[in-house]
Amino acid sequence: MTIDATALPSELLVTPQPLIGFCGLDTARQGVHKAIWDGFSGSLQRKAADRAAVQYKLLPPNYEFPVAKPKRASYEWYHPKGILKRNWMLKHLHVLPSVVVLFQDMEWNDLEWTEKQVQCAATVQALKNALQERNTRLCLVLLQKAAPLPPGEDLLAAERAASLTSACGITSKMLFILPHTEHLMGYTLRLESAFLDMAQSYYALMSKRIRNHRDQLSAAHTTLKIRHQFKLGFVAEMRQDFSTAQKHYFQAYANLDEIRINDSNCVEIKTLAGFLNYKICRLMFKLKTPRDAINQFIIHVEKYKPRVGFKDLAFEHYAWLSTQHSVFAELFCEAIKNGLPALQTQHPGIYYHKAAEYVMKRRDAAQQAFASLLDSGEAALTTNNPNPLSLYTEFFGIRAVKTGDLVAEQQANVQLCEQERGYSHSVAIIALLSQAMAQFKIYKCLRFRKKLAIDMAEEYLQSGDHAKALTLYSLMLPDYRQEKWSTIFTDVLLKTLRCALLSASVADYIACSIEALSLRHQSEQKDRILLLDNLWQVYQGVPPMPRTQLTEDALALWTSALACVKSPIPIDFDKVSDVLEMCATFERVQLNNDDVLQLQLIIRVLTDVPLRIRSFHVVLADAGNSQNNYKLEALKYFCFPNLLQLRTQQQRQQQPQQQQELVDQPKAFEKNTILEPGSYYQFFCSTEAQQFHENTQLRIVRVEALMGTDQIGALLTCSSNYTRQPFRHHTRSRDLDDNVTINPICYIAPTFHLVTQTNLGHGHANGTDGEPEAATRMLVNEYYPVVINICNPYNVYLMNVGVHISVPGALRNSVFLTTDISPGRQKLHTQIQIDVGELSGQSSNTATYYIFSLAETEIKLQQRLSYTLDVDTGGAGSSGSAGARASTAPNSSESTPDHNVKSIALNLAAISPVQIEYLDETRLRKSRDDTVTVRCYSDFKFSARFYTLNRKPLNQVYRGENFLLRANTEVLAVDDVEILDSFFICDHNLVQSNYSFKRKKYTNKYSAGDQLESVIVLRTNATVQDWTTARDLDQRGKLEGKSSSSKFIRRPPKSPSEENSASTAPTGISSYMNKSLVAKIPTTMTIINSNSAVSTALQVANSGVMSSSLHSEDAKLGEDAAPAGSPLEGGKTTRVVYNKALEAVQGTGHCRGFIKGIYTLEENPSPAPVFGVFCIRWRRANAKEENESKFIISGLEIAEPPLNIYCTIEEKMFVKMPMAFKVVIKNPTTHVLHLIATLSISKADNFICSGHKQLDISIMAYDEKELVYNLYPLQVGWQELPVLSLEYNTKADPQKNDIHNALLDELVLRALPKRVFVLPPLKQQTTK
Amino acid sequence: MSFVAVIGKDNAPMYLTTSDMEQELDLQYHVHAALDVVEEKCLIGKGVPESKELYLGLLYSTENHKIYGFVTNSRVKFIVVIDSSNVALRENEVRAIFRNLHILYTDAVCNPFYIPGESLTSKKFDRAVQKLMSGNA
Repeated sequence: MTIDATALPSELLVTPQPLIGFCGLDTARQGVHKAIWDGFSGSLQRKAADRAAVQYKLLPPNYEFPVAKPKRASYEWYHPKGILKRNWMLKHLHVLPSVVVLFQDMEWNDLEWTEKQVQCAATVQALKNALQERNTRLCLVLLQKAAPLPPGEDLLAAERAASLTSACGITSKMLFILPHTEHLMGYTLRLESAFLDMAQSYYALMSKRIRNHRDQLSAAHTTLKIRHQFKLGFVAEMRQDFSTAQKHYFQAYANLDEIRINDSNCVEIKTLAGFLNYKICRLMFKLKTPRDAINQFIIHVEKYKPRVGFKDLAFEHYAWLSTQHSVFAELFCEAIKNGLPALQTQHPGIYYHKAAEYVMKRRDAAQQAFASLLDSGEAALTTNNPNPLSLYTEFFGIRAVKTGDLVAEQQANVQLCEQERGYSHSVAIIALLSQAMAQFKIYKCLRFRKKLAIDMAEEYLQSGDHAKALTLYSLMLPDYRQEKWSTIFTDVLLKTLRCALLSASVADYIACSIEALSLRHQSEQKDRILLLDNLWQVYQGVPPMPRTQLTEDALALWTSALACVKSPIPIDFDKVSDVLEMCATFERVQLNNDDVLQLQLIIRVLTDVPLRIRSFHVVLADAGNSQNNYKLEALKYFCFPNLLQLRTQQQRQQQPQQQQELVDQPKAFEKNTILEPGSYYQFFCSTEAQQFHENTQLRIVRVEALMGTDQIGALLTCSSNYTRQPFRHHTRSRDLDDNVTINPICYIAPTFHLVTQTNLGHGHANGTDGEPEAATRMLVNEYYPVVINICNPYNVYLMNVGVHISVPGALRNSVFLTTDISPGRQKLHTQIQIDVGELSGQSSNTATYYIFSLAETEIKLQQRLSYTLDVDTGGAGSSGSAGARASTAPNSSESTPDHNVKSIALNLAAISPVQIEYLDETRLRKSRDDTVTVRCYSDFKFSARFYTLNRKPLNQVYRGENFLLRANTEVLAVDDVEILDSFFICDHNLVQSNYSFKRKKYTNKYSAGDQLESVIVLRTNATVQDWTTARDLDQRGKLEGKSSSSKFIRRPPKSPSEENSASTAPTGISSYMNKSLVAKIPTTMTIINSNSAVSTALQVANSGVMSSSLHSEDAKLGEDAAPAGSPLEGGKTTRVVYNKALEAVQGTGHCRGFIKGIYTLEENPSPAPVFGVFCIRWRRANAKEENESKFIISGLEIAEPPLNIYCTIEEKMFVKMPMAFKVVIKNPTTHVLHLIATLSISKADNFICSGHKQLDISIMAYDEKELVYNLYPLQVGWQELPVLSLEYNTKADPQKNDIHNALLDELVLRALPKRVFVLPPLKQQTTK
Repeated sequence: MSFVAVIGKDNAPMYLTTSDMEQELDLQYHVHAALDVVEEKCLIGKGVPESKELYLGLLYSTENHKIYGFVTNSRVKFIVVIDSSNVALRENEVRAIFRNLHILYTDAVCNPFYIPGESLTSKKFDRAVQKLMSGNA
């Protein structure tokens, strides 16, 4: 009978479907029959969706239909023994078909038709006999090979069909033809609907019959009413009439209330109620009213929960309740599968869970019942009851015990108890719980699920499956640990511990024991001491607990488990909190790699029992390369009762040496030192930093504490370091917050083995080090020596030592480097590499190079030192031996500058100037970047102006006209300089002649402020446009095209305002110049090593490469905007540099056309041409190196004159000595000039003059005319010369007018001297 | 009323008390599990920030207990467990209990010596909650 309470019959659970029986089909032997059967039963292609709700049954030839019971005339005296017969549902579902279909192979044109017809009729009759008293429909299906003709055409068929139906006694509607052609599927579908119609009418008739029964019932027949309602409901379901079915079931359920429940009928009522409730809920879900279903279920459970029935059989009640819940949960699941959405608070898991809970209650009740059974001593009496089936009857929920027979009832109860003992509750509970867990997981109830897992684990524990319980518990431990519900966690932890104990899982036992030591778990200190004792027993390889408390099995388990335990057992102490606090810190945040790395470890026992720890280790790792792990052992320690002491200790350690004696020496750490609770322990680890890679960041990976013995130990690892919480109370004596600074990382700074000293200027070149103040200032246009003294103070052998110096990009055009300034090989570079070679320990070497600058500016050179070095990687990877290494190397602090430690984490490369490259396993290259700063000062101030021969400022030159260039030079250099020579290299267009024939000699030393002047007479050959002759071009092309090395750059002239500031603030200039360079000069000049294309001849003469630059010293005063008083600046001078300009000119075969290259390279060349270059050769006083400063003279516009006038007079004139005053007039034009020359002597007593006073001259094109006058000076001193005036002969050349005459006047004025100085007569003369 | 819990925003308990010491563990498990429902409800509430109803209503009920929830704006949860047999406490009464509890909580938290996030150890708060529990039980 427990069966009724614990499970619903399977026939109840299926959806009732009409049953149709097939006979006459021999599926085993005939293929056609098999195909037909498959077509109907749906094992072929038919989809579930379009399948009619029909159940087919293949009836064997002599199938026995259940015999119908004789009909009762009246129910008046009928008292059924139960409500529902056990077999009724089964009978209608599977045994009694609503329609019986007889299949016969008969063709209309069969030769043996009559015999077959007789045979068929006999079979039909037999079936009819078997189905007596039943309403079962009978129909005949003829299986034919051919498709039937349309009705009415086949006369034979019509006739034979009629005879067949009459022979069989069936109506013609009951006769079907099934041609088994290729369209079998369509025929079966049509047949099926016909069968279904018949089935429907059968069940309708059946309902009617049942209803008829009901009408006969009186009020007393409650059970029958229920039965009938149930049957009606069931049949309605058969008919697929679900709402009617629901109505009937509900009626039946309501009728159940009319029966008074007592102990004996309780089971029956509950069983039936369960059935009906199941049907109702199922239909409600089906009819999409899930709320009603749930409500119905809740009401149902509430109604029957108090109906326990027999007290002894309480477990039966709980079983029933559990079944109700689990079945409902399944229904719910089914509904969800069909698209019902469930909620977090209303889902099948809840019901599964309740079902599981009821099974637990069932178990408790069963145990209670069994206990009471034992007490009463009846167990022996019934254990050998031979007939357990006596508990069942043909009715649901009724035992085969006479009601009212107390003894029999008692016996039955005892029997049930016995049966219940054999039931495995745990399995059921676990199954239900796991189902519930699955559901809870779906509906996001993770905590519920955890609770269920705990329940499940508990169930495993109870059922003795400790290993599974342990697995579940240990899975749940981290979850609950995280949740921080300490009561719950304690519960789980202790249970886990228990499981670990029972299943002899050493690792879990140790882990749980250690965690359980925490004060957070609410237990007594003595419990913790017990835990600790047990823990140590395990460490020593002995099973925990007093041996007597463990069962034999457990002891055996422990012994074998202890034998094969893998020690040490790792325990993650990041998770296990509040037992031991461990944090580690580096003593210093930065170390040099020859220092000793020191680490501090601070340990506190947080629980109230002392812990014995075998050893402490700190594991370090490279930040960049986390595979490299280093393990350091703590060897010494201090112990403090409170943290303030730690602080004072640290302070004392920082104090000077004499007080060090007061400091206690740390105690050496011995194995298994006991750490007392409440005390602080400070441990020290140290190792050489050398074993780590340089330029890396070390990080504390974890702290490890080993606890236990050699055989078995626990490795407590703690990787998260101490963190300060944002809000907390803290006590200075107790908490670490204020007392310790935690440095979780340590930077191993690289050592750079080279020390350099840079000596600037002259006087150091010979290697004897001079006083720094003696260093000379660097001048423009000078080869300025720089001596680097490279010293290796370490006992290390360094290879490939090299210095690489480069000019920063901004100065590339004006600053150059060279290593060799011997006359033959002057090459300028923007970067140079000086290889020093090898440097053995404690040695030094020097490297010299020269800087050459065209600009007075601050030069910041980038200097990069590099070397390679063999490394020994011996120490890496292994735990280093403790103790400080004797440091042989000097302190390298000067080569490793201090860094800001805080930024270490960001980027190591950015912090350290030292770069480390690993060439291979054993060699590495280190390099370091520095800057060398040199300030370059100006050498000369140069200005040049143009004048007419009359010493008037010149602003326009006529071609062929002579004019003056006056060059003023002022020495700016602070140090004395010797000027060797100065000369002017003019362009081809110009003809140069000395103003005075005295060659200027420079002999003195000049110091700052000294001024020099030179005057040169120049004459132009052509106007601007005509300058570059084909030959010049050719020459220039050769020069430039072949040697792209010589490019020229000209700096645009500065504005006057900047000129002013320049003299006062040199830095301003340099910055300005830098800017203007960048902004205005697109072509950068490079002069490095590109001399391959230069002709060898040029190279030899030219010392390789020429370089040039301009230096504009003077303001560009506008030609017309000159201040009135000052002499009009004729020539704007700019300064240019060639490398040995004169040689360059010689090198090019005196083709000076290159000068024009200076301005042709400019972006927007100024209109004025370049007239030439003024060079000053100079050297420092007492120095040998010659330097050359060059200044570009930019010229004036050259205009085409109407005529040229040259005037020649003697260099010296004496009184009363006749002299020739010769005026040559040249016609540069293509026209004939007609002029009238008039000589007028204003003061007649100056000179006596002879020659044409007035002369008409005509000069042919390009011809010249000479006008010669003889002058006889009469007086000494400045004498006005006779004035020659020219005017156009308007008669001969009528186009000319007065304007042209004015021009002529101006030309005459410019060309002809006004006055001459007449010397007194020579001595000889006078004496004569 | 058999159980009152104040649970911090990280779901760790700040204050737990019960009148039924025997069932304490069981009740704690239940209250802990009820956080699932609280979390789910708060999650839904996230979508509609305007209608901020602190009272969450009945979280779920077991055979013997009904569990009600309340969440403050700072995500501190109050959970009250009421015996199913107690019919005197209806929705409105439960709301009132929560309101009182909220006031008590804010008073306790306003103590300058209280550290946010720590468990509530105030004796005054405890006394008041005990009174609230017994007064309505």
